[in-house]
Amino acid sequence: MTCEELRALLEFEGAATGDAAREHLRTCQACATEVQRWQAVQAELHDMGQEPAPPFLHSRIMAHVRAEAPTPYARAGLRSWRAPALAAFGAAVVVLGLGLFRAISPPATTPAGERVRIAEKQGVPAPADPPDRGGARAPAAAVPAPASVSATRSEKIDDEQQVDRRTVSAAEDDLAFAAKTEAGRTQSHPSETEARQSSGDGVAPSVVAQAAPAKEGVSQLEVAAPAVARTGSEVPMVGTLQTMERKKEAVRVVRCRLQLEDGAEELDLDLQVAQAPPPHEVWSVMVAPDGRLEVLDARGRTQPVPVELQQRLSRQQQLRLGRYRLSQAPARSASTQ
Amino acid sequence: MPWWVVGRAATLEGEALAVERLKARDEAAFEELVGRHEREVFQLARRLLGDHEEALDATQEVFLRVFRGLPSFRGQATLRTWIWGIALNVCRTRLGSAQRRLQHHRTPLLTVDREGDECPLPLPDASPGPEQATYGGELRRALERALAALSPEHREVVVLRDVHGLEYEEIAAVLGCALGTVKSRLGRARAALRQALEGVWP
Repeated sequence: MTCEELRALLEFEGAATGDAAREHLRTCQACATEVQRWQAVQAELHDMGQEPAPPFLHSRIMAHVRAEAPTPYARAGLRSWRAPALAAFGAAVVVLGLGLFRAISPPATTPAGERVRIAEKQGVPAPADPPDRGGARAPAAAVPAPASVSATRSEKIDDEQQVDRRTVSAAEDDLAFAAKTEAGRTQSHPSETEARQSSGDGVAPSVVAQAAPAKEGVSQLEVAAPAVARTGSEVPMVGTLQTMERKKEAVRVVRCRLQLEDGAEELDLDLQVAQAPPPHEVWSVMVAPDGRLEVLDARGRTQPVPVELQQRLSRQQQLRLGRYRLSQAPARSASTQ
Repeated sequence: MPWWVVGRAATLEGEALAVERLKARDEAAFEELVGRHEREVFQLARRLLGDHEEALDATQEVFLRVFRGLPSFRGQATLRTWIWGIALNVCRTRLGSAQRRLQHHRTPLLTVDREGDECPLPLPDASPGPEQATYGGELRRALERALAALSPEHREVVVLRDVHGLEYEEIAAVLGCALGTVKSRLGRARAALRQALEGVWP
């Protein structure tokens, strides 16, 4: 075997096998070196194929498929929100009753608010309270008529939404399979609406809160603004949300810039550090026709929608439909409130 | 029946069952499918496109297309071959459009640095970044460069065979060409790779 033949063997077979090759390698140092190098290259190429998948790849793919595929999956996912939505509706009825009762005889304390405060004072995380959460959002989601509502709600809306998301996605996982068989048959759009509006994403844009200067602990949020329903019609809603301030700890905020992707519009707003893109990162924000916001970080992962953004959308209608880029604002304005 | 025949029959039967579930829009089955193939598809895209972010997007697109295409999957190829064929097509399209983008769109995106001044948004480029550095030394970096320098046609066949270890028959099915073509293309591709690696060795 000649050197050329041996190299051709390497290239076409990937390895120098066979008696003739072995014989040649015993006598040809150059080819032996070449074979060693080639083996190192092959080992390295093989290792490349064994690298792990990047984190979040799986959830990213599944989210993408669920979100974009015009298929039962999206509906299956959403249909599984029915149970929470139903719970929210039930809770709304309870809270509505409570509100009416309070309207007749205003109590000295607000039980749920107190409960949250006591829990926080004791260093116990505020309990995720489905009836309260349901009550806070149910008027927008489930009661499409003018309503006077008195509800309690934790002000840690962002945290709350994360809890919501976790609850909902767990419920989604649990129920998706069961819902699957039905999903193919049902095309009901309104159920999507209902489900979305009862989600963390959907509700806050429909609740417009104006924070009054808060006393320590408890603050009153006056709610008096149209809720933007998915259909685009306005659902009048008047009520009072009683919420909790976070203990005394200051909330760190950072000035961010929201810029329409074509650069036509921009808006500066303060976001809590946990809700803002880190320096040098640009997130994208999508404002859907139903008023829903989606925030994706630089790697395309869904992030909780900052409350400030939701409020901007519903309070001032400042956000046009479309895609925005969200990044920290150029000015050095990271401040502490 | 020998055990390996039984094993293969069981595998095929399992696949047929999986396909049935997938066609019935069984989400759990689809998630299982994603779990089984996502890593390889990502790594394939990563090597063919030479860019981490682009590969992430491509992987998403691949599975979206897989999802949409399931009703028309006839079972002529295995699921794996079919998925890889889709992945290859997605990568080819992206490679083409990425090159067009590079030619026509050179306006830098802006972000701000720590001092609050505007600066170009750092975008992944072809040169090896920290991610590659994690995985290897000099030879790895040289190989990344050499693979990037190959023609797409050669890169595909080397990646399929030497990185992912596909059999010649599978490669022929994925590429949609004859077995002989695969072998000769692979030979030329490896020769080009060896040439691109000249100078790496001391």
